[in-house]
Amino acid sequence: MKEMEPDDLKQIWQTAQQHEAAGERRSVDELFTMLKKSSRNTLHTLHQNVVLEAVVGLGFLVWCGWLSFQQPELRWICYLAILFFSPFYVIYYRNFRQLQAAKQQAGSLREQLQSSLNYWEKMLQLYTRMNMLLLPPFFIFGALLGGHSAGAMQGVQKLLIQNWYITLPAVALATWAMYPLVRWLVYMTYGRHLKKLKAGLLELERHQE
Amino acid sequence: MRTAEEQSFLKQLEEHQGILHRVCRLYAPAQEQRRDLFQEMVLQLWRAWPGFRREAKVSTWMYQIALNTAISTLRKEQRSIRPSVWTDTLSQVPERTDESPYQEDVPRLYQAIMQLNDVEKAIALLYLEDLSYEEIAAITGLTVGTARVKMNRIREKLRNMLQSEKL
Repeated sequence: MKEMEPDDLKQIWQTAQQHEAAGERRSVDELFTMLKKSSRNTLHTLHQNVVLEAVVGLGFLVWCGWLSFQQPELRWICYLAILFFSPFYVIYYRNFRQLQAAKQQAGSLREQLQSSLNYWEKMLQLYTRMNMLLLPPFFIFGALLGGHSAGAMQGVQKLLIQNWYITLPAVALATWAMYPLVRWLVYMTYGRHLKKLKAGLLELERHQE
Repeated sequence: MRTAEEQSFLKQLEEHQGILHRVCRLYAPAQEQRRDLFQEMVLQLWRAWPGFRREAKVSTWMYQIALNTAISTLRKEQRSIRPSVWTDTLSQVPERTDESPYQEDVPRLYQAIMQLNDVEKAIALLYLEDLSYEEIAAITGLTVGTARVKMNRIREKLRNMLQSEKL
């Protein structure tokens, strides 16, 4: 290959663009249709997952309320669940709103990447924390409710009082086993991408210094 | 029925859509990925449109959003790009009569750019698009001096890769 001049790269690029431009152009109608489609962006998916978990959580609280009236023997567990989850959801909702407000789309590539990264990090933190915090209560509630529904015990109180030394270690063990799995799943789904984004931003920051 | 805002946005988008296609080509070599990325860029531009204050050129604003979308959108990892990907793409285009002396270098240039990281690709694209260093700096957020130094290194890298027999 011949020795290349700096402008040769631009010439090659221009040649490529002349060839490829013709077949790719979209009409105004096609572009308009695109505006009406929903985003398939990973950040958007993460955002949807967070909203979905919040809705499921709220549904769970409503169900707990309903159950406390339907089955008086479960009342105290339902109250406990409502008491535990309610403040958590208020904090969660506040964080979520703050994140939404902080989301911005203007500025240079560097500013936008920084903004995207902040948003990603906080959203991922919120998502991970939410999943981690939900695990133990769900295990406890699931164990108690399962034992009760199976009719193996006469009452949940009895189950908890008599077998707490089995229930609690079992919950602790299940939680301990699940935590790394949850962390791994979150990392595989989103964390890897966050790492790549960080590398991109660092690259820009590094050359700026 | 389109609103005035939609019409105004679509007019700009249609006029400058080449920017999006060129960014897509660098960041998403496979056709399906490219289609998805283009769609995502259009959506992100539309969302950012109300905040665009017209102080900068539309093309500058588009490059910023398009590059940010391309870099921050999660794509399936492509550990190795088939050398034939770009020749496949080019073969779909009808033959041109005015044969350029650089035609055979086109797939090699794309392959060389694919070896760069996401940020280097962005700077290389802006340079190849013949933007000034002031514009490159405004789009990337680097200083003019840094953009120039960085581009010199990338250019050297690209030229070495193009001349290398390994490609």
